Amino acid sequence: MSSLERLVSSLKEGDRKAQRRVFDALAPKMMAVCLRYMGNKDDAEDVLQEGFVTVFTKIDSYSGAGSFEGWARKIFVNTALMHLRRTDALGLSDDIEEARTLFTEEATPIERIGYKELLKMIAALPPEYRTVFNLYVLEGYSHKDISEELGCTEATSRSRLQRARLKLQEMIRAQK
Amino acid sequence: MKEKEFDISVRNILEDAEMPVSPKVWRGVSASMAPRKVVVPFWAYAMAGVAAAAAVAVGVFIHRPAETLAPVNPAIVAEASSVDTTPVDATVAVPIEKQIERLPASAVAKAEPRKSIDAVQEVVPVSAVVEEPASRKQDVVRRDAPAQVKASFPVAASIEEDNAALNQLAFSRKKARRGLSFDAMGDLQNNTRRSFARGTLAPATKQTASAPGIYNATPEVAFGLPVALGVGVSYQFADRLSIGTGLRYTWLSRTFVGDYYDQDLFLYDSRDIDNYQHWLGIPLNLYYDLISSHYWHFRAFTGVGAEILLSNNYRIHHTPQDVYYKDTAKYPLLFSVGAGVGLELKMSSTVGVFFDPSLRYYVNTAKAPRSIRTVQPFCVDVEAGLRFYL
Repeated sequence: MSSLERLVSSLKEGDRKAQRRVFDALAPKMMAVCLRYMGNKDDAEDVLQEGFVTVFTKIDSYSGAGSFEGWARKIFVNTALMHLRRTDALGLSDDIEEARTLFTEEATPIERIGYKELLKMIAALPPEYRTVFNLYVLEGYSHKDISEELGCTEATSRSRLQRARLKLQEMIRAQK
Repeated sequence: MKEKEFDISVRNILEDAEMPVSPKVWRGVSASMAPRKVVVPFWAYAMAGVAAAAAVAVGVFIHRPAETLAPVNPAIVAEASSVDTTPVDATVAVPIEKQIERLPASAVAKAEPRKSIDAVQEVVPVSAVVEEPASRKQDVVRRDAPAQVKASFPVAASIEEDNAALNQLAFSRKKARRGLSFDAMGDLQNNTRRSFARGTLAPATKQTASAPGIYNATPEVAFGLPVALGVGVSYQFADRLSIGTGLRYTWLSRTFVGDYYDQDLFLYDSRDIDNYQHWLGIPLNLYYDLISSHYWHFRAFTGVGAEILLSNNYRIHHTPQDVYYKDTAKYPLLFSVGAGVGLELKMSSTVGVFFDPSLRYYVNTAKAPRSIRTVQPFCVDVEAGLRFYL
């Protein structure tokens, strides 16, 4: 039995030490994920807490196939989306103004940006843009998936993604 | 920069991003993941006590011991010894009239002639009483062996004497129960299902440590079931009144999240902490017998208790090894008052089993270390045990 399997098995038994080990290992990474979605520390911590409770209480549904971190990450993302929906932050009205043409082809000095700065920039995006950007760019969702998840059209999802990119580009340039 | 490249760059930068996490997050998680400890509500104690008492009562009455047929009564034995015990040749039949002549006048005065004869025939051999006191079945009235009688005394020359003998028997039993008794008992108190953790996850401002110890404790995740064991002694000083005292050890436990600073003021931040408290107490109770019979009695009692904290230990959950801390602070005595009713079932003349449910209130909890008693000073207390009569 691998150490991960042992850990999962301990989690399934409700072992608090195992829970703490998992928390210590995953919390900083998942905090970054939550910050990207929620945009501020307090909300991110709420989502992080709720996400861990879900991870520990729904551990029986983890089959062992696939990465445990990936499985847990999905729970945090879903928890964040749930919070955003609850607070009506996703702006469900369609926004299909074409933004593609506005994206500049100029080089953006993004490599010089540290992850903390980038996280702050993403956090500064409007929630509806931020959410689509996170789902598409960082979680690998398709526009179809996003439209189903957020209850908007695929065109809206595309438009929001493009606007998020543009805003980020502007912020990065401004930083430079 | 093309969109795809931009996306990949963002992903690469954020792939392993980590951000610091406030300790209050774990406090919240820990509070929500409270261990599944047994929480026994008030009604469960009451029902358990009643059910156990009923079960024992049924058991006692179904298997009523042979003792009830003919207990050896020292008073009667003494009377018997005053009877003429001149050895009689067993081979020579003693005429009934002669036997009657040997009886005390009181035994035959009120008796009808026919009954007197029966009374003489229904004798208990003194030899059986004196030499074999345990074989109580032999004490039962014998009608078929007058020839084996060496000496005899009348058990019942009349119905009135029968009643008098029974009254005397009851009195002597009652008298026997007076005096000292000892008991060994176990005790359970209710804990709480209320969550003290939700809503107030962390202290508003964090204390910084100036000495080793537990700091920034959150309200409890859970309280363990309070358990007590003890021994006691009771003295019946009046017909229905007795007084009891003893020694009682109590174990209390709780779980919470807090910070621990060790001897070097090294911080174990936001850890699960188990607290175990060991108490030694002296109860003082006054008992009043409400209803009594040969097999059970029902009583009310009230009393006070004083308890001292023997030790107050903490286990701080830590990987790879848990850390232990002993609080050496001195705490004042903790006082309580209580009142209840108790049922005692006599298993034999010297042993009884008792159930004493009561309500108890802990008085001066403000200066006591935090425990179920300080957050819930009013509780249900169920004592059960064995009582031994001298």
